[in-house]
Amino acid sequence: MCTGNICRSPQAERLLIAEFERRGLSGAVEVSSAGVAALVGEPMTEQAAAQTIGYGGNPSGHVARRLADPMVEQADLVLTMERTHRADVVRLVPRASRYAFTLPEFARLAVDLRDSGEAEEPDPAADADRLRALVPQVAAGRGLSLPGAAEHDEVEDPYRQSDEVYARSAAQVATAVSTIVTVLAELSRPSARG
Amino acid sequence: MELRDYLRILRRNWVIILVITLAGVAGGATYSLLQTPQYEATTKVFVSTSSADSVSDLNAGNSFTQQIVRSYAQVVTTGLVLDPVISELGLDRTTRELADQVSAEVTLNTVIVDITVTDADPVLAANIANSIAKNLIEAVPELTPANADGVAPVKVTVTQSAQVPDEPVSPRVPLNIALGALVGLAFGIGIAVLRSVLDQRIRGQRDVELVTDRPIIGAIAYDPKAKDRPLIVHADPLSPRAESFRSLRTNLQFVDMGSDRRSFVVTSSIESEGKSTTTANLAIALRDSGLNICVIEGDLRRPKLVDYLGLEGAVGLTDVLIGRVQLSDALQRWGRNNLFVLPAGQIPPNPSELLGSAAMAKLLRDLESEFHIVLVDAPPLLPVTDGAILSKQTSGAIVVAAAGRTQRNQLEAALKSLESVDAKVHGIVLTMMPTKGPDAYGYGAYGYGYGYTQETSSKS
Repeated sequence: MCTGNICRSPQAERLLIAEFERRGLSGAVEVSSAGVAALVGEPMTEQAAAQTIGYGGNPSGHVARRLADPMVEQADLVLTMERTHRADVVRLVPRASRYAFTLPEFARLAVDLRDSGEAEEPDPAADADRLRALVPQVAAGRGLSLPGAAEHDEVEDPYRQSDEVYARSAAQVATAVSTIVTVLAELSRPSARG
Repeated sequence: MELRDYLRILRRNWVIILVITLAGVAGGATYSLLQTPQYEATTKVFVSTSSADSVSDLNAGNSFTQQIVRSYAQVVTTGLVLDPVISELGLDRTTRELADQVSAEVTLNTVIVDITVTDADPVLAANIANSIAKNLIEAVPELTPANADGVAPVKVTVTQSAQVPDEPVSPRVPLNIALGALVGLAFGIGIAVLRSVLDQRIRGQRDVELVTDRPIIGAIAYDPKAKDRPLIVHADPLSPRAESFRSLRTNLQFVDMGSDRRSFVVTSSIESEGKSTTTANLAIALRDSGLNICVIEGDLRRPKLVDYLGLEGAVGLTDVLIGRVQLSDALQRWGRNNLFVLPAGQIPPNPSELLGSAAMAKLLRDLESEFHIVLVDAPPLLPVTDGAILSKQTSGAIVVAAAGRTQRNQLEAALKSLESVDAKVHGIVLTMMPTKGPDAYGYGAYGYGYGYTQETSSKS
């Protein structure tokens, strides 16, 4: 989720969908996006849509919507673009502090978990359950490594900025998304590990 | 002050002392360079009186001669001798000025007068000296006229005429430099002692003992990289710093025996003394020993703890206190074991009231029954009352004092503020302790070293 739900979060949503599909996990995951101050009913901005296509996502058919409690309550994982968004999510649903992260933060922690070698062997359950079980394990790594600078854990807001900013922001989203999906796929299917 | 203290002062300030000493040396050298070199030429004259016959006469003559010699030495620097010298050599100076350049000394128990002339020009110095000797001889008849027999009672002979000196006598470079160094050294030591006397900053155990009789329950090694990796106990468990947190953990177990309230406030006198870092690391160290730990962010003004721990602090203590959020929802697990964190939550307008409320007291009781140890990170004591209020609400306070940062009077005032509300002070934790140098903190002084430090030091 992000602020307006017309640039960053729909990008992340569509790229996540594309990446999970590439890994054959699309059946296990349901991805949606919302904004704290969403421009309800609006489609993605042109630049954001173009960037999404560039990174292999499909931008069509997205409609901005406002974040609401039930969305957060029903989610297994909430990924935000900035830390203020994360705070907004937790204010809506305090329990969400256990599964709300900024997108780059989750990517960083997922890599930490993989590199630590401490990830638990997944039970032979459905993909969805395995993925769900990974969230608290990733969360347990919070505070063990630092982002270097706080802004490393955030995605830049491109709204009403130049194409250059759009490109930079989209690159941040795409990098984090592909890291997350790669690591989650690896950890949920140890047999498939190279 | 004991000798030990002085030695520590010298070790602590050796740089300043060295710099000021070198400045003294430089001063001496500069002074020497700025001086015009002065040359000395000496002529020796022998003063004799007419010989006497008998021994008694001889004795009388002797003492007479001695007096005469001394008088003649005086005459040398008077106009009687110098005026002719000035006109003879065509000198451009007054009698007084010339007299200042001339000294006449009688070598003890002899009748020899050394006439020494100092001048910037070596040749002129010799000429003046010789001219003085000549004119002194010429002045003799005027001073002691010949007696009836035509025998002059006093006779002055030049025994050694002045030579042109090769080397200047002043400036004396080595002497000036040595003097400069000495003065600089004395000055430097003076400044060092003064600084230490005026410097109120706490540097180590001794300074704390001057302020309070409360025990020092921990001394945390200084780590320049603490900002980048605050959670040292987790990041580098074998480091000396992590070891010092484990010692603190051990000491904490001894503290407050016999009380069933296992909640502690971590506070300090002023800000940035390492409270939050100490709280976080102590919590992790306690957790590592298998205890269930709860850490509360009690600094409702500038919460830092959640940032160190990498958690989201939007919801926490304040939301629980006003009943908007369930405690179980607001508590966040940190890491894989039983360490739970309650962030500050929304920043309220009235932190002190909230922290002193009955709801806070009840919350603490609940948490104490739930966890082995509850740690509360509090704001500093001097700017606000929150820390003292929290100390009253819990079993007592652990007061952090940063070595080289906190002033003695600040710590004193902080402890007084706790005293005034009847809060217990469990002990003092020194942070940012130097690991090298005069105030270095020896491991094992406040706990048990397990040999980690020797291993790491032997490796390096």
